[in-house]
Amino acid sequence: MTAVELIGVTKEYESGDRRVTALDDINVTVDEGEFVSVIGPSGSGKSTMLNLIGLLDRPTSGRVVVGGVDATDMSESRRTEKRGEVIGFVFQDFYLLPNLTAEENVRMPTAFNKSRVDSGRARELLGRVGLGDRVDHYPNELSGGQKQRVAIARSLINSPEVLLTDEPTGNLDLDTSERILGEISKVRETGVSVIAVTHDPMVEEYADRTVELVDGRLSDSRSDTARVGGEP
Amino acid sequence: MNPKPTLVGMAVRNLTRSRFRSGLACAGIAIGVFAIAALGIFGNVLAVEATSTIGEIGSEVVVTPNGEEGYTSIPETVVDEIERATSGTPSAAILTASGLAASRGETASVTFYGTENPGAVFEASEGSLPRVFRTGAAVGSEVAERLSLRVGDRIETEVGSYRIVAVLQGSETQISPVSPDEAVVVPETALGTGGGYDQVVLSGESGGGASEAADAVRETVNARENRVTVFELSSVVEEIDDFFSLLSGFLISLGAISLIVAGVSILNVMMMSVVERRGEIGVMRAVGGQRGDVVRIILIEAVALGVVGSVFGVALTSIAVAALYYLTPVGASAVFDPGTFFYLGTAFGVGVAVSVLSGIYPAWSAANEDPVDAIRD
Repeated sequence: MTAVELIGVTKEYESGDRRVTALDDINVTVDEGEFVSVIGPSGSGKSTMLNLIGLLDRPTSGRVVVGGVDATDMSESRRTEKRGEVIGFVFQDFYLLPNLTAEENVRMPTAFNKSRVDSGRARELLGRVGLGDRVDHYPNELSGGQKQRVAIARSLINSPEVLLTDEPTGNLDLDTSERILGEISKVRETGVSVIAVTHDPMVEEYADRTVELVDGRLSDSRSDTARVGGEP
Repeated sequence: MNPKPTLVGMAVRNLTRSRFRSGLACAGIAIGVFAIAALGIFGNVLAVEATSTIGEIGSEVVVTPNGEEGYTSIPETVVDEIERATSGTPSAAILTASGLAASRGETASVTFYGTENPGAVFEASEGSLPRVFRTGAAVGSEVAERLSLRVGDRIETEVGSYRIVAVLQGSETQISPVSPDEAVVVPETALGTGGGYDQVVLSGESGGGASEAADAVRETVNARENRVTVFELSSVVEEIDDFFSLLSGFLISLGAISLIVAGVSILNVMMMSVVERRGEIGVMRAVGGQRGDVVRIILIEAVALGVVGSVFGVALTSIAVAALYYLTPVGASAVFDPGTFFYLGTAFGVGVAVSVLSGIYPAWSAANEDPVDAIRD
């Protein structure tokens, strides 16, 4: 089943008096439980693509379908709601709230919805990422890798269908990166699709396939799968 | 099981993150609330004290001959007209003279008041004032003290020798149509020359009653000609009240300035906090937090700062009010006047309101930050 679909998506920005095309008529499909890495040079449109899939931004043209629902024309409020329901985010800078414990950070997204997720679920997720003994620790008591694992647990608290990660290993050493990628790739077992934007070649090793963006277009060199292409 | 994180919980935790900064913001509000409440209460205490001192004269109307039209006294017929026009309001037609009084070899200079109805103007602290005054004399407290007089003693005066029937209550105020302290009140026949009276004093039961009586005199006695001058002491009280309102307003304005400064400090604290937490707020938005949720968190923080600061401000003011009561001669009725509680409540409310107003812009600015930009930077 398809988890994410970008259909003929173009994204343009105003930059001063110039119009910059960040994504140019992109078509991407990601299946349920699939791990896709997105690579490309800086400014190639990787993060823009992630923001569109994450419903943080709107395309200039084309359609964005997430979790089987066309989200292109949704209102700001509805997109935010949808984001909380079906998408999990893991960022390079973790963005844990320093005044909340690991467990509270994991449960933070539930403050914005009516879900009755109890602390047992947060503890279970922290246990799954190997932090069962750190639930009451504050972020300043955790290492970079531990913080990123808390962020992974947080991204899963609302049982998302898609996990989006932006340079998840960007701030981590080699060993920790391997561990984090292991955790991320494990979430596929529960049917969660993973899309990872990265410069890190190691991510590609864990991914089912890799999409390369160059100047806002999908690169031909990586269009080795039928699911990805410049034309629908 | 730990409770689910709430917006209130997150807001309060945010404030404890930089306790010193939050503490300074609270201190600003506390000082502002203290300034408004303390200055408001101070003005109110002054007004209450002044009103209680001058309050009794507020209900008296003094009718005197209109000198500008050539009248030097109020004839008996006009006194009758005044009494008819103001039936129900106790009145006393008074003759006045200065002179000497003596007893047991001591002499004092006094003011003689001749009236048939001293009870309308004077009150007795010893003895009693007869309803119809025909014999005896009542003396003021200072005269009684100087001449060592008590009820039953005799006093020798230029207008006759009298037995003392009453000692008058001392005046609490300088503003009065008669001065009871140096008075020797005698039956009007003692001073009577048949030429009319020097003044008629009407004692209304309230400011409103006095005002009606004054109007009645103007409409009847002065209907054709301005024979008498009608002076309402309540008008003096009104002017004094106006002055105290102005003073209170001025004092509160001073306090308000400090509260505005405190509001700006809260605005600054909240803006710094919002800028520092830009990424975190972006993540909140990314994980499903609506703009309204972000606004609520920031406003809850502002309200919490305002409430804590205002509670301290009210506590400080309460200590100052207690000190005012214990360390100064100000009476309990002035210190614990309802106005005191009004100013405490108002200052608390204004403190919280200023904090909320100061939180609106930071909240709006945080909620409208594009999460994409917030997370990227």
